[in-house]
Amino acid sequence: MPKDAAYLANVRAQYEALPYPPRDSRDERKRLIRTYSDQLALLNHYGFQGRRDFRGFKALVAGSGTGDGTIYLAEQLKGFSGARVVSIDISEASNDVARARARVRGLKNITFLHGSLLELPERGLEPFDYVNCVGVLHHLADPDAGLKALTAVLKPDGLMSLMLYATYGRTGVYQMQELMRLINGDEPDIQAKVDTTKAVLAELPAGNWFKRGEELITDHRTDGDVGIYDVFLHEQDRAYTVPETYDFVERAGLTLVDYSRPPDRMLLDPANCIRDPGLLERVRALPVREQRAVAELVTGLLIKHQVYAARAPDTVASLDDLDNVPFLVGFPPDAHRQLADQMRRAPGAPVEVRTQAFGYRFTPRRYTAAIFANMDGQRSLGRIFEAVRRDTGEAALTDDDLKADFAPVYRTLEFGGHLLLRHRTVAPLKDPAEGPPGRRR
Amino acid sequence: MQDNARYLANVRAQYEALPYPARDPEEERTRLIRTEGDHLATLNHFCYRGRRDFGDFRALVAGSGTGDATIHLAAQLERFPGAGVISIDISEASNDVARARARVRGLKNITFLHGSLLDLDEMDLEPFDYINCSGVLHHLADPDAGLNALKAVLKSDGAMGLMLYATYGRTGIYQMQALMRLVNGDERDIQAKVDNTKAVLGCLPPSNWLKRGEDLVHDHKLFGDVGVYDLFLHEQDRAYTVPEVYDFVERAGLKLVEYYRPRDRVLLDPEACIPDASLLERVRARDLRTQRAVAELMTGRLIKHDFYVAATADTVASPDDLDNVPFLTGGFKAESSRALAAQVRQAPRAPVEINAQIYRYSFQPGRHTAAIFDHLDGERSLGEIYAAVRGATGAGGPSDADLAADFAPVYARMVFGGHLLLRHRSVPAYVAPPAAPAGAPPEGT
Repeated sequence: MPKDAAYLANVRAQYEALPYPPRDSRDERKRLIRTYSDQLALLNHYGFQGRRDFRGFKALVAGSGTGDGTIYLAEQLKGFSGARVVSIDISEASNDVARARARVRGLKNITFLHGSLLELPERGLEPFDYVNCVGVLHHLADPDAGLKALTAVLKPDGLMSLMLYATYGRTGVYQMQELMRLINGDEPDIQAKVDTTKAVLAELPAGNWFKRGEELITDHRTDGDVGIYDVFLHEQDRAYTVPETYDFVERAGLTLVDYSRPPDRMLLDPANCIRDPGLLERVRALPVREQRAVAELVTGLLIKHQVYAARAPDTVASLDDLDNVPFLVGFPPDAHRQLADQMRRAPGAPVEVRTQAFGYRFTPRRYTAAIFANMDGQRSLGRIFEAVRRDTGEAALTDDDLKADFAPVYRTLEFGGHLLLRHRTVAPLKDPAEGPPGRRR
Repeated sequence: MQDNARYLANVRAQYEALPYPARDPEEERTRLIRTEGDHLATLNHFCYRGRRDFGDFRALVAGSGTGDATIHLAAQLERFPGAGVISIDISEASNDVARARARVRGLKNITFLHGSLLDLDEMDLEPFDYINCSGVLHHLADPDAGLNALKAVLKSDGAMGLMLYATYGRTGIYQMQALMRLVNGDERDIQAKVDNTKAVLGCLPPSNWLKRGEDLVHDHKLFGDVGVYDLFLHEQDRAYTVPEVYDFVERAGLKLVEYYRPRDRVLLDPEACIPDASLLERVRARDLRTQRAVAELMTGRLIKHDFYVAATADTVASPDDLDNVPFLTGGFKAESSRALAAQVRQAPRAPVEINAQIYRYSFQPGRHTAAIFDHLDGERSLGEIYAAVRGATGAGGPSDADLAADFAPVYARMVFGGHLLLRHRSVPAYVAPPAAPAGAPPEGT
């Protein structure tokens, strides 16, 4: 504990001086920052088998900083009776920013706490359904102790969303940190250290490894001095490889459910970076974590591990439960029908799915168009399959036939973050508004 | 020792299968590979205060591989009948290549030993004046034990030329090694592992960190399968940063004399990579190892630490000893001093730019620099040169101390740049061995 205490003093000082990330509460009038992994529909699909009703839902944001995760969760949860967000941070300056943001939005379902997440188990809090801890544990002297403290306040059927820095994508960052430690020596003044860092950044030759990977890191450009401090001058900062991330989660008695962000799943898929078929086959024979470890090293691009972790196994909603309702995400409301039409016009032709960050394709199978035509986000799989039998006139088709036909398409779209499940007893979730109610844009 | 024993079995197997670096003995008929740190004139300057007569010089090449250093040292020492080279390697296949090279060159002053450098102290050898151990210690399970084993067979006034891998320049290599460990899993066949590596190399995207640093790594292109194995599949391979190198040397009770490759000294000079004057001043205020550590991180290009270590302090020849003879080297010929003198006379205040192709530096001439270069013929001592300068200026000319002070900054820069060295006047001038051995058929016949 003395080591933690020393660490906390330094890191707290950093975040008191430089609340992170820098946010202006007035911006809450016009936009909502949606922290992707905190979307309730995703939490429900990956963490609660699609069966979670969010009434009474207790979320914890541990190391909430200036409040991005806190605000987004509170906005989504404000319609659910008894649902609350507890937001804890060691920096009261950061809490002040988050509080001001909540005030502008009129959010009343947040409890702000000031302190270290290491003390959570002793604070007499009710256990949580969901713990968000993003970009925090890698700043602790003992990240394992941090995860243990979070696990202690998680319900047995709860879910966590964690973000840890990734070693290889941050290769240049760590060399810069080492360089700045050498140059800054025992300089105590934060502003002097930031200024020296700027002078160094301006002079880096092309061979420098931060320069070689410059496109990967943007915070020092987008977040000014605060970003520079956080990227290059952090007092305590470590990173993990894919296997180290799995090991870290498992040492705490948790299961790594999945990487939560589709671009990361794409990046970590060997099929997307290994063109040699013989080599790909060899890599595909490895366990998933090793496949991902290979892709992480081949691409060198992953800068963060954003993962869901759960205590219980089998938390992901399953295609086997015909009472689950499949619904498209990130598509316009009528997309299921348009896609069905597209498949009917060119049967068997691959369907391209493009987002700003990535693209992929799936090959429709025999009944994909018929399934999509009925996949309106309201009907359960069972009812969709019934409709398919009716629409095609193939009354002998079993649910298993249709499930087998749908499974590969479903998995591809789920992998791409575009298709999720919720149990039919759970109401569809509404996306919260950009600004608070009663305010003019 | 348990660890070392297991290591040795694996690494020996690698080097028996793939002698490194790949060399064809027949090429000895036409060229001599001049390993930079083993250049006797450079060694004499940095490690023996310029006073070394090589008459009975005993050199050890520990981890000699296919023999580059062994052959270069033996070719230089051939003219000293009492001098010799002992060459030891754990790979007999590598020794065979080195032996064949010595045979082609007709070198008779080498003793080849088969074994580990860790066992040197049990081999009953006379202690050595010089030990070359290049690219070897970082492949031991315990490199500190290796350095201690070498120190145990070094004379008290002896020196070593060491090479250790450098962490930052090899950033991409270590990621590639981690990748290949994953891909190869428990594959045991060396050729299968090499083939997998080639398949991976063939599909690396530009974002991969080896690709981002591709300009730094050549062995896999130069040395085929052997190079691929050595870079990406080595069973035991670690690297050092500048501060770690100094610490490694000092833990063994030795002193790091200097990085011996001028290109590395330039690379590790903050002045060459920090244009901002106030930032440079700040870095210049730190000790030398920190300055070099800063430059190492800024440039990111150093892939190896090549340096001399000595058991005693003050092994570098000094310009304060007026009996020392300064001579131009590193691509300059003896007569180059006249051209330099002429250049300085033409523009007496302009910095002299020296472009050595893979690096460049400059020096600011002093008042007497041109006159000193007039007499710097590689034969005259500093005292004789200063007297000649005085003779040219007439009575009341500058004293030795004046001239030494005037020459000091120019001298320091040119030694740094690898173009000026000292030898004591009692030691004969360095004679470079010919590229082809005596009696070898001339090229093209």
